[in-house]
Amino acid sequence: MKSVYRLQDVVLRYRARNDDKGAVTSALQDVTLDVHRGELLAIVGHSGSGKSSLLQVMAGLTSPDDGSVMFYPPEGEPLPLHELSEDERAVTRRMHIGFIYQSFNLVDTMTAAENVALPLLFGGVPLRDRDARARDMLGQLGLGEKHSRYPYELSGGEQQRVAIARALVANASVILADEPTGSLDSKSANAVIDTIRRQHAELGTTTVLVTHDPAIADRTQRRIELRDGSIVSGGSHK
Amino acid sequence: MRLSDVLRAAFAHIRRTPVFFYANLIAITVGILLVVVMLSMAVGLSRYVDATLKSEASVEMIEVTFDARTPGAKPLTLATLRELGKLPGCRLITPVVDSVFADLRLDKGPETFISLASTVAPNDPEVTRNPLLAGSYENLGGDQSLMVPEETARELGFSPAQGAIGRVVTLHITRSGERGIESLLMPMKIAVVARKTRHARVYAPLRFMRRVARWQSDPRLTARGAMTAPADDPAFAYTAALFYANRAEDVPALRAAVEKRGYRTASILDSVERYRQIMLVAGVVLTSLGLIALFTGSISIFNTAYAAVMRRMREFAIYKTYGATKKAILSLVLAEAIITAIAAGILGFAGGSAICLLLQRAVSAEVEAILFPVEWWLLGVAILTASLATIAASAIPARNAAELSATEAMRAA
Repeated sequence: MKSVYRLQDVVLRYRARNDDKGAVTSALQDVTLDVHRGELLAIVGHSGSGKSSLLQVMAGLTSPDDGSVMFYPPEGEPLPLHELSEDERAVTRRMHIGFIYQSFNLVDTMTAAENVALPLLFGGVPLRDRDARARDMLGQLGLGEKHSRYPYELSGGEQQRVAIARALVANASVILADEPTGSLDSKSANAVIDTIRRQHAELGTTTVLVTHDPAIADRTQRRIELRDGSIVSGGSHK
Repeated sequence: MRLSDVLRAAFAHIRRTPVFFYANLIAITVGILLVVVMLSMAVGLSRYVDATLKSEASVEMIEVTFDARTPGAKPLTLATLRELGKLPGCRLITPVVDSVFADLRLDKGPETFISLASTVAPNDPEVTRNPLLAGSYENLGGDQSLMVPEETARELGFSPAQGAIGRVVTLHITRSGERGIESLLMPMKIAVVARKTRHARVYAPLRFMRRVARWQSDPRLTARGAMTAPADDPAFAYTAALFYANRAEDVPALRAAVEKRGYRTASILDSVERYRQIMLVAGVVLTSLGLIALFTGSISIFNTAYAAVMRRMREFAIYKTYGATKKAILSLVLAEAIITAIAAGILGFAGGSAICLLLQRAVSAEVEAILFPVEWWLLGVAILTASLATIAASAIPARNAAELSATEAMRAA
């Protein structure tokens, strides 16, 4: 199978903010990982194990201190995310990667449709086109009637579905979801996971889920466990 | 990101945070308003002084005087003047007899002290440039005719001043010598009344003035003898002459050539240049006051923009997650600054113009068009200055927003 990601000996360290001489924490330690196209993958581990850091490195939101992160888009040359500038990584995300936060991270002053259309806005898609595509995506996720609602007018589950729509609207080939059900009750959480699984099944989108919930991890094709920034199981394909 | 989307996003943010927008708008508008008024005042004053000085004398004219102590300089006889008239750039030379002080008296009426100068009217640029109230230059041909400024006519009791035309007045000139103070009394007819003359001079024909000069300088000559002597004397040395250049641009070279021959020169351009420098300093001081007000406004913008960026940190982090480049974030922040600048520039120009128009009403009608001018170039200056101030004030917050790492910003928010 073709790879979407190939991470080699990735190291990520955090230094305490506002303190150049502060203690350095290793968030990721020599992480090596292959993610295949179309895979539904769960990254599990305790709090502070480096799950979210790994996802941020894969999204290009953070650049590793050491090691390499190769991203293979569906078409074109492989992209070494660890070498790209911040703007180049932003463009890569806009074109290929959909990101879902645990806390939804919708812009409070924008409607659901405007939030969904954000990747299209920065991609230069004309207003009419992006509005139509955002409404269509919301419709596919059962929120067609609520396109003009503001985030505070939606339930937690609905807000997360808006966030999923935002991750999918630009036809991303990869979805990275950072604890997408972490802020939801179990009913909403199941609905969100169902939505993600359905989109994965219908579109074949490579999906990486960060979760600490074993039940959710059980519903994926592969599980990777992180401990203290290192992969302890599931790093290679069987 | 499209420009239309940048503007739409900026207007949307302004609608959401109107208090910030109006606070910035007022701060910059007040600064721009002051800049507009100060600039208008500085330009108006400069133009007024320029126009006033140039109305005193022609800019093409050079006043040339002979100083006997200067070695090599020939006395200004007609022959010398003819020779000097061949200098490049010289259009015309009129010999002058001036610095004759006298009393002018109306029979059984008031008298006034005057400065008398010669004229070669009717084709003398020195007098023909003066606006006339009554009479004509052709009437100055007679030996005993005078051209007086309105001010002198009024001092003689003529009101309106035009009433002086044709009236006979007595010119009382004195000389002092071994025989004590002697007087020359001459009946003169007022032929021309001008609105004003240079240095409020009274002009008399050159022939007459030559005779007066001879009488004053030669104690052997009686008054009757002086007035009946031949009018034309090729050996007569004039104390001064007025040289007229073809164009104002020719004045410096012509002056240099004349000075090289040992004569002293003076030009109204000297005064114009001197006053221009003074006005430039005044303009810089006045405009600086406006700019200080603008600077204060800019600090307010800086504070507001900085606070806005801090407040929108999470929003910018979300934008970056979904593909916003640094340029896009920079554009979003600066677009608001530019919208504020354009609005402040227009409002500042409108307010400043209104104040200038009110100030115009406060001054006399004669100068209202010159002082406090309201011109379209001020709108350009207003918008440009407001843009520079707001962009300078927003640059650091905008750069901070653009440089923000999405992960760090999300963590800090």
